[in-house]
Amino acid sequence: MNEFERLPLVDAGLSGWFQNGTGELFRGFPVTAEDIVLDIGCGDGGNASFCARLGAAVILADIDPAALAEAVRKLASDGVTPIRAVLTDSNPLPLKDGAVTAVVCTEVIEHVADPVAFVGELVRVGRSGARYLLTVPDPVIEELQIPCAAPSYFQHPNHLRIIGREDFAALVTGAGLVIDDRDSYGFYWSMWWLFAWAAGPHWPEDLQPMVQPWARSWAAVLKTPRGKDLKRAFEDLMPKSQLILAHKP
Amino acid sequence: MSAGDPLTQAAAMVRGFVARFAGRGTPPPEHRPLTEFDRLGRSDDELGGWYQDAGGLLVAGFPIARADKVYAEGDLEVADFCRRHAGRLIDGAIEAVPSGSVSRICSIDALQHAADPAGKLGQLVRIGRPGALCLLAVPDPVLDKLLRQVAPAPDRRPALERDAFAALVTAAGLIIEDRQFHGFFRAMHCALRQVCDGDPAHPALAHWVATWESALAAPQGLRLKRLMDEFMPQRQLILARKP
Repeated sequence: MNEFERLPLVDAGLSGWFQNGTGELFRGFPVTAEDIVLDIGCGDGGNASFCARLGAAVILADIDPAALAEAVRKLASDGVTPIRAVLTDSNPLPLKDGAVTAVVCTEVIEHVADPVAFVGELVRVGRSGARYLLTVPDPVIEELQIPCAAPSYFQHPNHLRIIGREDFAALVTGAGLVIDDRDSYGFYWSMWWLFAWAAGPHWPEDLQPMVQPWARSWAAVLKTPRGKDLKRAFEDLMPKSQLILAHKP
Repeated sequence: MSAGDPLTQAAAMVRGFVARFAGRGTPPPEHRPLTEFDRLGRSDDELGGWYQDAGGLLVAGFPIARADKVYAEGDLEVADFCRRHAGRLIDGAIEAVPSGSVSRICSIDALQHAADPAGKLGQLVRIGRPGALCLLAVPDPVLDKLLRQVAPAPDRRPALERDAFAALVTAAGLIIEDRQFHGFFRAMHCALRQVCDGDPAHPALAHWVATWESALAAPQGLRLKRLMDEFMPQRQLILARKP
């Protein structure tokens, strides 16, 4: 993997993701062999794979059979056994009350028809004390994309709504969870997406001349002694995602 | 590119640039050649509506013609444009300029340096004829806040908030005709410079220039520029008229 290919992982790590040294999926979200982790809307299974490497039992869940199959393949290739995979629209989740100790739900809530019912299901399947890592797109970059994104970006099955920062917190606390921490990250990707829309109908061909030097510029920033400070400032200004860490009382 | 820009190198570049455009001969040898940043910055400005020689527009909505007597402060490129298009350019001490004597007033990145911005604006209004058009530009607060987060500057006055800028202009008796936001490319470059340890050839900067050059050439690049110019501009502009 060259520097250009490593950048997303390096950037994510500096944001707080994938803390191998401390066994945290995100800073403040430790995972151990005692955990049963539900990765809901698991996508390609990267988060679940990280949790499995820390010894946790993981449950993959997704509405998309292709994504779920890909996640199962990824975990299998990482040597994870057994793999529990659930094809579900989460309405309701086919899990018993209090079945898991941790829930990972990244970039899903903006897609679902009824966010209150959906988060309620996540709370139902968590034990008392269960921990939640929840992310949704940040409203600043979502609103910037309104005039430039492809129309399908804001249509089913993609983003059905823009979730404000206070709305996100209210959704979580309204479901009965206690918020432990909040964060935001992904400025590098916010810019990437704006470039993607600028490329118009001819991407990825017309996108590469923008995102390749952009990756090199951002990689050079992160290598400087004060690059993390600049990254933090941009993560506050125009993050791709907002994150909440919470627990069930 | 303004006198308010802390980079003395940029100021030296502008002096060379102006000297050439003003027909005063080639720049002295100590002036460095234009960089890719300078060239792209100028192109980006022009795409944003600046320096439209054909129509005599300093910026969209701000025509300058031979009939105009112009007072300009704060930016050498702006002064140069005015010199080429106006009947007369005044760029000296404002106190010496007679009341009601000019038809165009350009104040670029100057108000924020005044100890009394309202008093300073009052001086600008004083020298304008009835109907005079004013172009007022100051740094935008979005970039200013980001820079302060990276490098705290407690001794420097914060940039005017957008509402406060408009209120200042209105309180001075001017009628706002347009508001504009310019220079995301330069604002981003300025932010990146904060971590580049004074190295103008730092890869973070060089690759940013390459990124933006490609963005402007992309099918929807101009739309992206307009979007980002408003989101995190280098400068906020108000075009206003003296009643």
